[in-house]
Amino acid sequence: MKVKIFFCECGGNISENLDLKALKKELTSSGTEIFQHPFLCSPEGQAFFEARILPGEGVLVGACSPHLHGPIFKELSEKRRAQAFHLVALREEAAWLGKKGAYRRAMGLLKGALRALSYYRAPVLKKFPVTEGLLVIGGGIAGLSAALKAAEKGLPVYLVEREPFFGGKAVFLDRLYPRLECASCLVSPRLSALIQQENLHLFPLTHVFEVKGRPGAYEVTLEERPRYVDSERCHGCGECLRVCPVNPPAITMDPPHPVPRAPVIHAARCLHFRGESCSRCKEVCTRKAIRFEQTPRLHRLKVGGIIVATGFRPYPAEKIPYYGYKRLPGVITLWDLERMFTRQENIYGFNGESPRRVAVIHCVGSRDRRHLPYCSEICCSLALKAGILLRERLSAEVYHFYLDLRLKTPEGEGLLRRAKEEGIQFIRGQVAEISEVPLTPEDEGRLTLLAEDTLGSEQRVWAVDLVVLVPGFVPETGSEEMASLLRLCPDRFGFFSPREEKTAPVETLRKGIWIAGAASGPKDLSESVLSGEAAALEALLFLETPSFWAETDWIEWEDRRCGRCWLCVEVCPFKALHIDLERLKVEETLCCGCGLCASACPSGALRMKPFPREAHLQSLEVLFGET
Amino acid sequence: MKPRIIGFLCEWCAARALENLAFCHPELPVGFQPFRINCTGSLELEVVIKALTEADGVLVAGCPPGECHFREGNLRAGLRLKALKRVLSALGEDLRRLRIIWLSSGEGERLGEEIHKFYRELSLEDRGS
Ligand SMILES: Cc1cc2nc3c(=O)[nH]c(=O)nc-3n(C[C@H](O)[C@H](O)[C@H](O)COP(=O)(O)OP(=O)(O)OC[C@H]3O[C@@H](n4cnc5c(N)ncnc54)[C@H](O)[C@@H]3O)c2cc1C
Ligand code: SF4
Ligand code: SF4
Repeated sequence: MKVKIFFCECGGNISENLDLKALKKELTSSGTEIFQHPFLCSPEGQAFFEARILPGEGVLVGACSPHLHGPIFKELSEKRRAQAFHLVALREEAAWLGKKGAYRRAMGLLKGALRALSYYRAPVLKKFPVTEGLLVIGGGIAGLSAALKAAEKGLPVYLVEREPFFGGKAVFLDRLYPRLECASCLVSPRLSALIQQENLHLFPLTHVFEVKGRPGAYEVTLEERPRYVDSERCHGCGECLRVCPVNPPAITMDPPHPVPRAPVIHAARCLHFRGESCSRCKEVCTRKAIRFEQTPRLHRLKVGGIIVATGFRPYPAEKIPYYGYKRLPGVITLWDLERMFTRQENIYGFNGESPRRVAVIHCVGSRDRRHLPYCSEICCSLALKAGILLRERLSAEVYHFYLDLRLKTPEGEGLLRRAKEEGIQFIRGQVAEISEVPLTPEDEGRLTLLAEDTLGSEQRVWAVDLVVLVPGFVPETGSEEMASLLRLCPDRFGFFSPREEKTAPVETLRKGIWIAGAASGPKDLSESVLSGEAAALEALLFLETPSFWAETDWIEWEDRRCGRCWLCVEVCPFKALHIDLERLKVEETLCCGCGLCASACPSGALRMKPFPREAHLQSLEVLFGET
Repeated sequence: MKPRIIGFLCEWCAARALENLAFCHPELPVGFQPFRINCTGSLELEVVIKALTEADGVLVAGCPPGECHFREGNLRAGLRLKALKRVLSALGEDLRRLRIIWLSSGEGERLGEEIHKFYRELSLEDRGS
């Protein structure tokens, strides 16, 4: 195979740090043809590149990182039916790592790649049919936005929510940052739309039990837990809620705007299920909707794609003992506060009275190596919202304790001004302790808060009545199981990683699976809606085409060499391999060519594409031999 | 002979870390040769051994635990390379020549430091790196 080399000068970035002329001279002596262009990625550069490739040839590009323009050059050379393609990052791996070593490193890269090219085996492009349906996991604002858009366009959509009601965190919010508008007024129209959409199938109290198959044709098993209330019959009058003798009640319909509009019975608390003869709710229900006899149900679906929108949750503040959460009365979280506001409950401080002085503590657990080493981005804004509401509704003195104020959106500044005008105090400092020991005898019945004032660089103490903790965010419980069920990649903190953070934020590495909302990192409501709709668009694009092409055939299995240890089957992280009558079978759409199986095979029976083991060995060989 | 270190860099973290570092135009030791791989988990021991027999040192750099692009490639690589180290030590090899690090794509500077440190520890600078 004849190989042509293309050097990009990268407008001097490469050519000024690397002696391309000398490289050319040394490489042409081995008979390869070499071309050079000032900007190979520019339209002219691409045309120059394309025009010089002949069918059957090998192509080696020496330019910038393969993550930048790699796919373009690869596509062009495939279009010209080149037989083999390789790219080395002359810029990042030679030109830019120091002039002294540039030439030697470049030579190593190029000669290694040239040798590897003679072992190149192209993966095969194949066509796979696509089933229409879409599964959306998680019925928060992100999941339901995605489900609504896809259903509007006519796709059959199955929306799975493990809680009894749809809407996620957003239905328990009171006012929304930054405009302090009523959350329910924004969210409930979307919830109502859920019930009206015909091809949208709702599965509350349900979790995903099993996922089999491949992109475009997944077989999913759902398990729906009993509600003990027939939501078709129930019309949500709420009579049953009033007669339940248990405290807290065993039958509830918590959200301000419940969807579905039917209560749920919590068997663990319900007297009927604890062997007593209570059936008061059943007796009072005129619609005969109470169904103690319900049992878990399995649903089997065929879908082409899956959107994961399992959301986030606040970091459990009780993990940080010095804040006293769940130990001291009068220490609550923002989440508790939101729920108190939505239920219009009275808010009490440490001594059981309406609080006169409130401390709002930012960054609870955030930016702390022992807890969350990151900033959750949205919590400062949420904290500011809480401070203003407490000031305006309770006329309390409000102190914010923050590390850095990071407010989102242009409206944030206005809100901060409003807070300052209302007399809210901002203290830059880390809270070190909250205790029940009064500061002075007059402060009996108040909490003592000790903080480092980092602007005044001193420790100070305050007597306060109520403490609102604003923790950072972590992925929702169960995301790990979700990741292993769908074979998704979580990031360091457990949020799902997109294929490419900036340019493909809702795609995952798995074809046919997308992520939406706070499951891929802390997001406010508008960002969650945005990503939900973006995921719906990706899903629509994929599901509305009857079939798709994909590179497959990443591994070659040699029957004669294989010792049937099936280590490869065990090792594959994507469950792409199985045994069929003592032969190894690859599920082409699941295999992503990671090569873990080949490296695990003790008998060398598996060869990877495009570059097998020999290609690597031979590259090393030339590296040591010739440079 | 001029010293040489082969750096097997995972495409998804370490190779990107090197790219980030490259934007600052560092002066890396002349003998450091980057070698991109798809995942540390796909790196075959035969290839590592080949590099070890010829190079002065071998650096394998992959993603931190829990961050593997292919779910668990780094874990596999970790186990495998640990086992390899045991074999090498039984053979009386100098274990300092094989170094394994985990770092994410943002940690370019650290990668640079690790490369320099590796050089120093193997006393390769004296041989005119
Ligand atoms: C205290 C607090 C105050 C906030 N205030 C504001 C504000 O003022 N302004 C603003 O814009 N944003 C605010 N937010 C942020 C807002 O709530 C989020 O942006 C939004 O909830 C994210 O939506 P989501 O659908 O991605 O996730 P979630 O709301 O977390 O929904 C995820 C859903 O998925 C379900 N689920 C999880 N795992 C599974 C599973 N395995 N199977 C099935 N279902 C599953 C969950 O039960 C949940 O219903 C606040 C958040 C909190 C916690
Ligand atoms: S690991 Fe290799 S030898 Fe073992 S079953 Fe798989 S292909 Fe065959
Ligand atoms: S290359 Fe990776 S995904 Fe494909 S079969 Fe082998 S281990 Fe599984």
